[in-house]
Amino acid sequence: MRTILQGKAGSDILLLGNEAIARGALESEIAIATTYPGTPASEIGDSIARVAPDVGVYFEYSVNEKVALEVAIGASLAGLRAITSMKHVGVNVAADALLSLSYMGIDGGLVLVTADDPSCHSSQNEQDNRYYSRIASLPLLEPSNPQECYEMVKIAFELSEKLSLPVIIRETTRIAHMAGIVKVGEIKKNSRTGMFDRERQYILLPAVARRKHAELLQKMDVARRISESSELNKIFQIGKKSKWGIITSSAGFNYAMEVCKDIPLDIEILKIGFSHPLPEQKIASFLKDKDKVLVVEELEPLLENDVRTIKEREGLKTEILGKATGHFSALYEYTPDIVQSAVECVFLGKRPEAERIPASAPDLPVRPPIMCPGCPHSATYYAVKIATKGRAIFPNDIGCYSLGAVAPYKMGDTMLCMGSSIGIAEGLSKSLEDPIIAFIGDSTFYHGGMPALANAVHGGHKMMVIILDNGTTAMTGHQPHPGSNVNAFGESAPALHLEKVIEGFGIDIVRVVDPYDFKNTVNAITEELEQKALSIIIARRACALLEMAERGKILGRRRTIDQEKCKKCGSCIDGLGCPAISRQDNIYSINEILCIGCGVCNQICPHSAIGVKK
Amino acid sequence: MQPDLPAFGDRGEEMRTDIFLAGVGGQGILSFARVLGVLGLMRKMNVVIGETHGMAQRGGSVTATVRYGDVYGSIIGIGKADLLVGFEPLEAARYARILSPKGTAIVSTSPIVPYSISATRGKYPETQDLIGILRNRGNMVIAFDANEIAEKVKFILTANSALLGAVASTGKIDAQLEDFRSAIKKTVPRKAKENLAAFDLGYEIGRKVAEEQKITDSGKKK
Repeated sequence: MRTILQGKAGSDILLLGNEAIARGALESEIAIATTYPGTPASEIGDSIARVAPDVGVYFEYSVNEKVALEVAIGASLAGLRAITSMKHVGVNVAADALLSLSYMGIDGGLVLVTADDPSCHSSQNEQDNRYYSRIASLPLLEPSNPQECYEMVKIAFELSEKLSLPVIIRETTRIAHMAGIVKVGEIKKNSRTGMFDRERQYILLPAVARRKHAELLQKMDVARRISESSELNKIFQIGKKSKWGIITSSAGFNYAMEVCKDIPLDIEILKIGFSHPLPEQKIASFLKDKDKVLVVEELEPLLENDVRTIKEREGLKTEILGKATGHFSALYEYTPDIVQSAVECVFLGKRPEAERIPASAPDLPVRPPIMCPGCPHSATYYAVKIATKGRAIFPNDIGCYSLGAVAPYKMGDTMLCMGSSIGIAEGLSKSLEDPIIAFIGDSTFYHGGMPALANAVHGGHKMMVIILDNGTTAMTGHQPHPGSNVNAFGESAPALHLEKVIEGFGIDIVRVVDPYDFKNTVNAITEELEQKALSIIIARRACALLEMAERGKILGRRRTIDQEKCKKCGSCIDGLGCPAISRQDNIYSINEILCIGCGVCNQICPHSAIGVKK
Repeated sequence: MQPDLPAFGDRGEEMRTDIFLAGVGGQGILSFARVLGVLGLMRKMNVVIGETHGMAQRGGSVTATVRYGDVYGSIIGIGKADLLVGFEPLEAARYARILSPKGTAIVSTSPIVPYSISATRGKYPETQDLIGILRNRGNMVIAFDANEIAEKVKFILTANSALLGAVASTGKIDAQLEDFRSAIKKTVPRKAKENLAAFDLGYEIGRKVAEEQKITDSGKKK
């Protein structure tokens, strides 16, 4: 297996941006690494998890991002180095800790990696987490490629200890999931012993907090001076000296370089890698001898607005172009085509070509993501559909099971953020007469669902919560969670007992059903619906992918359709929605490569047309 | 405290080759990209790979990019790909616009019918029409059933090595045949023999298609 430990010091190895971050951390004497998995950040934690015991690092998949950050803070306050990584919306969960942490300060180097997702490839929004560096007042580094991911982590740890502040590294999907050649150094094991200095005040009582805020401003002044002289903010000259310039960061830099070299243009590109605090003097002197400067940054015009402010303050005549002049959009990730269009428009006076905007594909059938063959969630959703006849409101949540919102189930009326299905269900249940059924996965329940359930009990809300318990965090790559009996390294670990947790809330009857036992699942849901109380159903069945990986084979005997018995009613496709079953020219058949033998289809076929393949 | 960042494009002034990979989640597209990555590493070329992870992997359409030479980011511009490798015909056609007019498409012809077609009682397009979309866009199309080759060498997971053989036959990547073979040996050491056999068969098919095209082209000129 490929690991981030490969490659002797000085050698070139091929690493994903996320793997490069992990490698950089392992060369920085980290003692602790934490995360809650989330695309596009997951591979940082996963690749550290694979090697942590060998390099003496404590690693955990924490219950959520806030706890992940807090565990890392604990290590830092003991003088050890720690890294925590999460997807952009995960920082929202951790924000309560983060925004006061900048006041509190730290001891051992502490790095927080946020992986943003412009274009929402795997996310519910495309928020720009560079804002967190402003609102928390923390240094921010932005890599553009795997080599920089690796370098910037090492720089971030040094910077963090110099300033006694956590440092944020912000990558985007394109950087996180871009592999490239990285020249690596030596893995360095933690050599420090934990020590906690009780004389240092890590308590943010108002009197302390007021003083600490002033200290924070001083620290950021030091950070500003470091940013001014940092090599991470660097000018790349293409062609001859010119009065044209581009100021850019992150993935935008990559496209700007390629486009300007390909055209080719005589232009200077100022790459901002240390983007908060900004190197304002460096930017001012860059602007001074330019007629026109285009700002290339994905999402919000943070850099652009700051560049305009600097220009005004310096009384410069330089024309600043970007989002405010309509050359770029704050929507979605950029591509070389989008950047080329803007560059040609600004510097060569060409009209933007419609052809360049990612043209939609020819009119072909789509292939959206779907639930896997044998997925227990498919059976649960179909059972709920039969029990309710689809007549209920279905708040849904974040995970593979979010796909329950689309056809054929159409049981996702809301999907907002981790754990939100239960809280939203509570408000709906107080506002409507309709039955309310919230869906939530096991990992998501532990992450953010538990406080909402406590609220549901105390508030006397009448609704149903179905916990889709597949024993893992499936969507992001099967990471364990507090309900798993193994830890990140596959060692046995204490598991929370889901029924007992829920009973502890004062809910006496918790129904546990096996979605592969279809009839009983339908019956249990039907009975609970009649209760008109707060009822909890745990639909428990291991993720089929994980189960197959563990067994090393498919789950049962493959199924086949008896064409004489098949009445073409569509239950298997339009109801259960198993992707191993196809319908071409009204002939139903089971793809024997895709079928894993879960045996649900033969239970739901009203004409007994599906049987074991002989 | 701030070490110099390595200069970009130090490795970079060589020829650029852009390869776009398209298929269905689970077809081994990321592994294929990695083999090409190892090849770049061996040849001391700059190489950048763009991968798809997360939600899209669940049976959805999956793409990846492999870029050699003077490149910075992982995205290939519209009409810029020198090679488009389609692991499935519908997915290859979906991304035809990425292919350069001078580019070659290599397509495995076994369809994987999307669930959405069954669900909407739609019809999977004719494979010939899908290949036609690519022909209209690029300069050459090498279409064959890679699964059939895999069956020939009696190991189903070698289909992608057959596609890699066809990739090698185009000569668009700055590497010798032996480099490809050692990249395979490095990445799949346990089934190297079967994979190399499939690679050779794919290479032969690619070579034949190119020769036929040469004859047709010279015929046209006359």
